[in-house]
Amino acid sequence: MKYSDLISGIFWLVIGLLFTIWSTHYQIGNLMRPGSGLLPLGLGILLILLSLIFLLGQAKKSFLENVKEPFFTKPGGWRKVAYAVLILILATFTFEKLGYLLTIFLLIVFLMLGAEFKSWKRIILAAFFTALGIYLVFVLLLEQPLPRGLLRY
Amino acid sequence: MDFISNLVLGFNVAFSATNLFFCFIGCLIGTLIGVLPGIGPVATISILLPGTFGMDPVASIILLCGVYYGAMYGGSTTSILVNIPGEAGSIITCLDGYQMARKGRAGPALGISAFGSFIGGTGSILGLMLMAPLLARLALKFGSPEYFALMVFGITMVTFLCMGSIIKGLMMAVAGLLISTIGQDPISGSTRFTLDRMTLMDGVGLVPVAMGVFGLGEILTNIEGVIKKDIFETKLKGLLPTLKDWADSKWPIVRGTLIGFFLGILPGSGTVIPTFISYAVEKRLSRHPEKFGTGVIEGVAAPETANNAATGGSLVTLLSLGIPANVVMAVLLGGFIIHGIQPGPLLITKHPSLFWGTIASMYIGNGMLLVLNLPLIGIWVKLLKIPYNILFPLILLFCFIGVYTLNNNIYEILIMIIFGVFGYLMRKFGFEGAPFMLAMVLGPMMEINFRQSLLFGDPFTFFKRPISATLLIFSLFLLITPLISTIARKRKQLEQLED
Repeated sequence: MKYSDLISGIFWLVIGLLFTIWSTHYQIGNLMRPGSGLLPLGLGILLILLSLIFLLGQAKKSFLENVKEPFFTKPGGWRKVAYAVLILILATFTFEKLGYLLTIFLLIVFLMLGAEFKSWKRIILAAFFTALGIYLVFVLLLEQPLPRGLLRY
Repeated sequence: MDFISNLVLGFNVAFSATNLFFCFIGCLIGTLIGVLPGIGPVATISILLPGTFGMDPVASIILLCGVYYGAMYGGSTTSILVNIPGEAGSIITCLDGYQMARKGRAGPALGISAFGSFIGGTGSILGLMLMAPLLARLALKFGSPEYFALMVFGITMVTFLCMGSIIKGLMMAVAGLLISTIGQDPISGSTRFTLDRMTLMDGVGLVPVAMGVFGLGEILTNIEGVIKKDIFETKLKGLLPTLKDWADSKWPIVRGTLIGFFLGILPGSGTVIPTFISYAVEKRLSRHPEKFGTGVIEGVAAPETANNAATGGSLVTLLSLGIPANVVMAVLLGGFIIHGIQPGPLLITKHPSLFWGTIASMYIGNGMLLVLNLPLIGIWVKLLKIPYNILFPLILLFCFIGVYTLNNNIYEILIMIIFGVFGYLMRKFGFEGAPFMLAMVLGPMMEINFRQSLLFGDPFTFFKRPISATLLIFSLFLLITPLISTIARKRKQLEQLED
């Protein structure tokens, strides 16, 4: 069995168990008078069954083949992904406090740094013009209420 | 006569200055994202959705449809010139398109794909125009059990047509249905699985999830192993295909239109499967099948026609039954709902200007794309030279701002990020997003119809009504077929071993 299949099988098994147990907190009813928990309960059980079938099917394969392939296409590639996700999460929580202009500026700066841009001049210019573009399109043209935060615009 | 007067109404609507403008913008954005790898129509339509909120409903649907079929035109450019499909519907075009470019015939390849797209696109609109009203009339006779069965059939088809394993597809579909139960119970109004969070009271939003799984998830996959683009430096000249090219491509284009349209109607087939099937059909019918993959024009004409024809086909079930046939249609359904329009059998009679206006705009849009695409290919090629590490921060930013403007809620951005990571891991673990997304969209409708059917007092009602019984049996058949073929294959292997 591939290691990744084992992990994903167990993941869905746990999700199935979670929803199955959780659904029992709601009214289940019966097939003539279904309550709000009936469908999630049925789906949870179905997911458990499917995960078990999947895991068993993969376990059988292990006798036939033992596949070893790299999980990440590039060594260290996951670091770039984790970095981008972290920057996005930070931007989400600072968005309303710092305001859209500052957050967008910093978001672009950090993402471009992560994308291995060396020239600071380019990074600052790109971040500035992106923030300006967002202001022109979303605030002036589409009149979207973006959070202003620290700055007045 | 009704038909002609409806079409005249449609063209009157579509030719208004605003609608023409939005049709043009939609086509332009569509071509742009079609050209750019790493962002497809699902993410783009999701990003644009909040922006269309203040717009006239007809104009916004015209714009969003334009993005969809525009992307099919643009997708071919990257496949032919860079050997990277700009859009999933153009994967197969790489095989012969890129080889044609290497032989110095990039011009005719791009030309025939634009003409084929136009013919396939307009042909499928004709089909849509004829079939949607017929299907809508039939659907008026549908009750809850039929609708439920139809949705089960749709989800089963998506998992059946998955590129990977069916069991994985089924797991994703069930997971999508489970996510759709978060929020208010559509019948009793009580809340489920919300963790007392206000954001989850209305359920997990379609747009943040779609943008996460298809937008952010795709970008994260791409930044892990940055896309290397090797643009084929060739002077583009002679975009018009020669007479021999036309003679070789005319039947592939006709067949591509039919295959694309009819497969597009089938729930779950999207725009990718019709391209693979039309390519396979051409290869089988060809007098020189061994030349496929070395740069034959039929290998470009057939799939490029089929993916555009599929766009018209996939609109049939959305506009006549209210059931999205693929993920793009699921997001488009969100566009209808934002404007308080429920697609379904009554759409054509209740909102004739919307239905016929959209159809007429698609004719105009396809014409615009043909005129736009050929002269602008030079600009699209220049765009392709923009490195991905400049593009992805901008795409991420658009996703970020787009989700926020939906409800001005930062927690929806967080939902997008969570589903983005989910989408990234899903790709890594070999799961597909389409069954998940479609099931999530259909979930609430399915639950309402399921529970209303049960309220008739007979749990077997689904099997007692002919239409729902047929659809459910067919779904079961689809699920069992691969199992039977696996068992048969295993038995054969065993027999061979024993021999």
